[in-house]
Amino acid sequence: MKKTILLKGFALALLSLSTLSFAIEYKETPVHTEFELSVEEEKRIIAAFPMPTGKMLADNCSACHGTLGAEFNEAMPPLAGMKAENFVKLMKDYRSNAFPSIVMHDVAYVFTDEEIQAMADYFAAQDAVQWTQPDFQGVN
Amino acid sequence: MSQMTRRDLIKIFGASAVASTGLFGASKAAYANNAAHIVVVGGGIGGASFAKYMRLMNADVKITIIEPKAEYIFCPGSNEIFSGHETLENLTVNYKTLKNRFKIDVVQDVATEINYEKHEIATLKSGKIAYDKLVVSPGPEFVYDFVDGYNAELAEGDFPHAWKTGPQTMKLKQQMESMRQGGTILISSPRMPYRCPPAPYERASFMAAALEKNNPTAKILIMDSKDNYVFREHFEHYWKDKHGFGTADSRIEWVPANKGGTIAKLDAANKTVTTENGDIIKADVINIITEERAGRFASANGLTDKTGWVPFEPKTFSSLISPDVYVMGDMVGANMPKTGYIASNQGKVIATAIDDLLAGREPGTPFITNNCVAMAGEDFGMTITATFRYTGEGKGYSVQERRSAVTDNPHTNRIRAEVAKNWQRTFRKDMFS
Amino acid sequence: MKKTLLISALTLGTFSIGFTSSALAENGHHAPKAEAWTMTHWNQTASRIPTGDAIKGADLHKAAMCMTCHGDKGQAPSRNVPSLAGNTIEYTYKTLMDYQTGLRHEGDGKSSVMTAATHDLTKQDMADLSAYYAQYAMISQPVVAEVDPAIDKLVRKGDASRMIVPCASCHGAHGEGNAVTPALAGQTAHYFVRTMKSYKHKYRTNDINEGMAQFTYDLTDAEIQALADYYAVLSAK
Repeated sequence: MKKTILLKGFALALLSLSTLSFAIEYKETPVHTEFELSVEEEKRIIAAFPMPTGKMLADNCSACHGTLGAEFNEAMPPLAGMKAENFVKLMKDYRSNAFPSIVMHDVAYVFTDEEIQAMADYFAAQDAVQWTQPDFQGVN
Repeated sequence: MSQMTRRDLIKIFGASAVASTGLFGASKAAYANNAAHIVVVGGGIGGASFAKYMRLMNADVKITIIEPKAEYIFCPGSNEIFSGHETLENLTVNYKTLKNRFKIDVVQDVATEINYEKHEIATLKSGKIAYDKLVVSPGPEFVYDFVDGYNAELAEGDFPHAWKTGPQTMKLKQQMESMRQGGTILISSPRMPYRCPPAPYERASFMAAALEKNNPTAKILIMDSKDNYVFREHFEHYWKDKHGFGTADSRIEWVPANKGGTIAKLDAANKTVTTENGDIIKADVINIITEERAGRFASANGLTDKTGWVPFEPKTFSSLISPDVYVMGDMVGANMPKTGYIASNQGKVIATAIDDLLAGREPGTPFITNNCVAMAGEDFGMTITATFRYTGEGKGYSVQERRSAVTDNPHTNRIRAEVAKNWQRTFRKDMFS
Repeated sequence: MKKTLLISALTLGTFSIGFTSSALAENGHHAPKAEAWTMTHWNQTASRIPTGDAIKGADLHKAAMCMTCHGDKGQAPSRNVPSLAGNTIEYTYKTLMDYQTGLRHEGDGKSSVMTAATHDLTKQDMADLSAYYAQYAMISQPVVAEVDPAIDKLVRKGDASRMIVPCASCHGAHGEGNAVTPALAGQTAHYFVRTMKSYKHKYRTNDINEGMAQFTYDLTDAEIQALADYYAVLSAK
């Protein structure tokens, strides 16, 4: 019994040692806000009204992802024409933080599964064509 | 592809059959005499977003924007003009694409009086324009009387607030650059609500970057009429790292209201400000960021209430005076921050509601987000994500907000700043192209 | 530009990129211009690549936020970003260097985020990341259509009339890459097309002696798309 415990302890110590020597540690301090909804309150609000349409939800994304999700020339991925199942998987991974992100965890955090599916279907139906019109800026 | 895209539909049925998607501009019906006419007061972020998205949803309506200026200069990104990382030209957009691609009429004029009964909007030189629906998005008005001795004339002269990107921004930049070595810039940050809550601190941050290079002994003094501000943890973290914040030698100092930061008086001749406590502070450059309220257009047309802001029906943003008049942007009294992001998404809610109503449908549930990326430097960005769900009670919307953690991971911080630049560009495109 | 749009409009599931002058002008970043590579200079640099530690590379791939765009083990989660898995250490290292110095800067938001992402990487970091990605292989896409024999010919025999050497001669018989030439097998089709066009329009100029760009000038857009589709379904093994 003692031998096993000793060995386990030793193994654990080794494991944590190896994590320490290889993991890159950055100091991170979460920032809290006073604008939070309890899970119950959020559920109540969502249940009280029909779900916003996929378009209503998805058009909120255009400032980063482009009108109709069709911005192909920026860092953020284009959503126009994205396969619905890919969109759903990514959004759920972002929501749960299973997949790391710069801001998408915070964005995906509020959506229900139905809302994610609705947005996925909307974007999948958009043309995968770069949205650009060159004459809206005065210079160049 | 298992789903028919619009291009497939066009190949099969021809362009006119799918014109209701609006992507290719106005249909023939839009030019008919009996076409529904939607008039927009204001061609800024709010008005332009509304107009473009209205067109994307409906090719059969006539859309007219009344806007005094031939071009629009974006505020997001403008604080980087101080550090030399952004230019006025890059932030300037015109109405060509809205006109040519989306067939939106743009009347370069000033809207004056709404005749609610007759459904007409009067203008300075273009006569009266009849509307079926009117969308009002004129932006806020800057208020000067909270500081004794400050006024619009001084702001246009030697005391620019530069809270609307343009000549005042360049004047303030020039003042900063020609300041004596070791001089002081005083930034007065006002009480809420004002447009773009983190911007006074972004400004201080980008000015500090410029001073670090060209005037390293100069100081920035932020006199705040508030005790706290959004992203305070982030800014202080960055300023500690770059500018010695918190030490005696700090390039940036922040005085909150509870430590006497509120200013009450400006002595323009002597270039001093007096705080509420009676302290007199002399500075080389004085940047008083003003308070705001809904503009004269709103109050003159009876849209404002005693708060000085415009109340609205939360599901569709229609005004309380007339169901055919919609109100949006910085001038409304919503429980939402006053940001371009919010204005643009409000515009989309209104476009959807009008499209529904014109088709005889009950408007659906609105949904609004404010997902912004602010910057403290080219190497440091921070994010805020706020979600507003329709509740039908109180202010009409619930608020959930998340902010990025403060990290000393240089990769994250720099990539966040890059994401900020990306969204600024895409944002400009989202409403003007 | 218009021709590009028309061709891609006729092909389902494709897209066109709007590399208009405004796309370049909008990018406010002015990356430092580095000197173009010569073969000698590159060989010297390659011989001095530090020995990479793939375990450190794995950590850095998360900590430096590479994973957020390039995916788990360097397999791209979205269609417009390259997969990094399976590239040679030389190629990944050179690419990271070229973004850091600004030699590679296509002028769009994707290259400016790469300049930001590489800004704080040391040479050892770059070697560690390269070692990490070299361990894996890109996962090829499922085959949906027959390969056009003309494209197969282009890949294996090239086109003497246009002085285009076989792609396989540098990129490998199975698109597995070699030395400073990248792996193509399983690469995201959208990224492939975008890159070829970047070379063709001279937005990307970090290749040695125009070693890649020279072959793109006479390729048609349809051929570029077909090559992208060809390589997307290829397996490097």
